[in-house]
Amino acid sequence: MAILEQLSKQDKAIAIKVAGRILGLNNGLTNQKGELEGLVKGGSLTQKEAQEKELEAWIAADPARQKKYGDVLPALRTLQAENQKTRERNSAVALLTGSSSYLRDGPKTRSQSKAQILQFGFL
Amino acid sequence: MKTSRVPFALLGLTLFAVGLSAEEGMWMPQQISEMGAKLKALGFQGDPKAFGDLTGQPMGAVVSLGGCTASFVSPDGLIVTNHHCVAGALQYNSTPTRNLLKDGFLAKTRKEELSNGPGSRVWVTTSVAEVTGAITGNIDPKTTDRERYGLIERRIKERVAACEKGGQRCNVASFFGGLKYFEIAQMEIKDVRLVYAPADGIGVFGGETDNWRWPRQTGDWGFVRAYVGKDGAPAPFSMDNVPYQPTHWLKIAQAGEEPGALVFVVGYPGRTQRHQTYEQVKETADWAMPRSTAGAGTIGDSGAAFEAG
Repeated sequence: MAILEQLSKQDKAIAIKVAGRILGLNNGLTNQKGELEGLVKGGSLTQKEAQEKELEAWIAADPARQKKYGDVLPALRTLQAENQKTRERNSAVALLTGSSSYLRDGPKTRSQSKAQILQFGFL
Repeated sequence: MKTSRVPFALLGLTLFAVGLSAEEGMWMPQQISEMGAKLKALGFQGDPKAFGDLTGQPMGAVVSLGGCTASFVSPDGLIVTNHHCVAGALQYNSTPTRNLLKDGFLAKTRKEELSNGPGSRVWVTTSVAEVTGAITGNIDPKTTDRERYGLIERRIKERVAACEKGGQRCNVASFFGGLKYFEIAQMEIKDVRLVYAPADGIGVFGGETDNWRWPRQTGDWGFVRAYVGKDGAPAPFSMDNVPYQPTHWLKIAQAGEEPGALVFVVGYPGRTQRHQTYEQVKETADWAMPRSTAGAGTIGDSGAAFEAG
């Protein structure tokens, strides 16, 4: 953003070309900062923790439920731990392809971004 | 993140009522149809089933610009969307001596409407069908995760290819982390023109200081028009093209809303991480988000990865 802003000061034609990108980056950044604040200071994380403890207690309270759902959360934790091993690398690849409009919009990344959506397509 | 036109049509329902705690959430439109009793209790008087019909009224009037939600508001293809969603069109038509991003734009006649550029699109959903069985059915339980992933990817590609033979654009989208799959067919309109956008003093009023904060006073709108060939089929920009005649369009309420009114918001794409576990949310708060916001401001940062539509 700093580089784009500096280029904008040098040349009006460039300023017009990068204006949308700067708006988009700023928009996303403001959103993320606010969301992070809501998660931590806003208490969403604490609330989530309490809800999950309640869910675990509810599952543990009944043998039939324990049998049906007991291994779900531990399995998710195992998968998450597995994912954390490569998260720096995965994130770097996502940045390389995602930050460049050339790579991001290229045909080769289309299936990749779809995979990302599959992964994060929680509702 | 390239989420562009992946058709997660979700519906957010928010109720602000004096004396009641605000109830809110995000659902797939099909789920709203099943919440009739609850909606009635909240004071909704229409037919909840209408929300499940994505090609009917009013949902059929809601379209995607590829990353931005928009709505038809006239039988002649006029579309309203957010101001930042027409920034690309303003930029495309600006020069150092005529800066539309700053001054805004108004076409006083149809002839004055400006092409948004060759990359601009309007996606009109023409059909939505659940295809979970065809995507995840008949898979041997002994199949490895990798093989399963490949098989599902192949099935999706085959379905998309078959669906697109009719000239429409198709997607098979996963919901609830792969629990359900929907095939969505869309008409891809390729001639989109700028009609009206206010000057930045109105359209971007408050700038980043006010952005994402409420209450927010901003003229956050822009208008474009969809054009198609004389045969009614999508065609690249040409002065011979004619305004697209949508089957459905929204009628704008003239009266405004009272405090405590029931409010629905419909959008493409919608997404929520509500079903994530505590540890997943914690990882987002402890690692992912601080990481992406800290690096911002330098080129190549993660900013672009969360460019929001």
